[in-house]
Amino acid sequence: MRIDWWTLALQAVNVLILVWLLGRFLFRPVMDAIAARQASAQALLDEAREAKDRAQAEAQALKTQNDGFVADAAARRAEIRTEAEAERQRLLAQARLEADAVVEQGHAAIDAERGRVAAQWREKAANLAASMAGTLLARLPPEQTVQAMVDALKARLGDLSEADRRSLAAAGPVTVATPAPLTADLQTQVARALGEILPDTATPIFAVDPDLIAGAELRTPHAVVRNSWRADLDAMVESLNEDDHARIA
Amino acid sequence: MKFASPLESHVLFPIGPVPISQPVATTWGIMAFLTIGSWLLTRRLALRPTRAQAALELVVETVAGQIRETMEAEPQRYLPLIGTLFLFLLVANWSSLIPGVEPPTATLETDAALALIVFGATLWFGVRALGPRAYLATFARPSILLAPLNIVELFTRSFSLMVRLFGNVMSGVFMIGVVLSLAGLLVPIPLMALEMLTGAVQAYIFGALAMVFIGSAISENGARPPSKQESPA
Repeated sequence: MRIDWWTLALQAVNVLILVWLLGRFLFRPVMDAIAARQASAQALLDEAREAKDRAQAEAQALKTQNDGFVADAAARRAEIRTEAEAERQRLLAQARLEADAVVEQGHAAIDAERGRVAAQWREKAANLAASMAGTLLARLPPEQTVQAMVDALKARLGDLSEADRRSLAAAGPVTVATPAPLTADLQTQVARALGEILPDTATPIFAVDPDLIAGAELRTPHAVVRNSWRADLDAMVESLNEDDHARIA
Repeated sequence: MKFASPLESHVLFPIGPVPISQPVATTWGIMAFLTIGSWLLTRRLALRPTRAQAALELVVETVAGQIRETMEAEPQRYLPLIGTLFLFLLVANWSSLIPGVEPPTATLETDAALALIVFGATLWFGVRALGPRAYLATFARPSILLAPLNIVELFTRSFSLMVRLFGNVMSGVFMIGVVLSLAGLLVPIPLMALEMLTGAVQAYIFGALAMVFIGSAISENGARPPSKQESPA
């Protein structure tokens, strides 16, 4: 066995040269290409990641905006609902007030109608009573009834105060109204009686008023002294009406 | 039939005082083939690879991945040496398929040269990575008593690298020659296929062991990297 040192040295040099050659023409270009592809892929990945981040940011912004819209819409709906509820309450209150007013008006109309009907009936009743009283009074002798009424008038005048009697006498000519014409004697009696009670008055004027039914009235331009059934009936009807108004109120 | 001794180099022609043997000439041919092939394949590399570029990148990336995995280091610095050793050994071993061509790795000088390069690279990368003092200190680990053994191991493992490659390739070539001389043309074909497999395995083993030796030299503790262990062929 013999070692060829020239061959050994040449082979070592050959391999070292081959290492350089392949490093120059094979490994470095290929590794550079791989690195360039990796860099390109990394750049694409980075770009994609940036695009993804941007998209996520935009999506988040849109979501935030949408949430704001939703919140605004909810607030707006709540506001509109509140306004609508307030408007509804207002309309209900107004309608209730109007309804109450209509009911009140209805009640008032009913009460007025009822009062009017009652007044009509009372008036009719008064007229009927007056008619019945007149019919009954017609059966009595006129002297008795007139005398009684003149006496009652005299008593009524006597109840007045002195000042009232004086003002009544000073009011002017006195008219004595009766439901039926008085006889001359009765006119004389009445004139005498008035002269006693109202000494300063002139001779009275006698008038006939069938509506009085019974009794007599003393009329001056400024005052009237009523003492007839008509006056009594009117007073009773008026008292009944006042009682009705008080009961309704 | 008489066979030439595989331990003898045959001089083809001299260049001045330098005798050019057959393994050297074959190596030049392999160098030209690899260099021109590499230049042709890499002159038009594109970002979108062709099939050839993809295959080339697959080979290079596989070697780089092996370096990264075995040496636990970035492969840029070691890729030219390890990759060249692997490709050269692969092409050299498979060159026996060409009639009349004897693989240069079947001669002791070529294998010794390769082992010598690995030996020198181990020292170079170890010193470069750790510094002279720290690299020398790795021989005293785990104990100063083991320093002589570690130094002896540095030489013996390079020697075993040479002998392993030489024995495997030479024996294959010799056996095919014997069978070819005894039988017809077609009989050695299965053995040649087996020789292809053996050549690829030997190329891989040589490159892997070179990675392990250099990896152990550049590691702090001086031990072999945990991912690979020297495996006998």
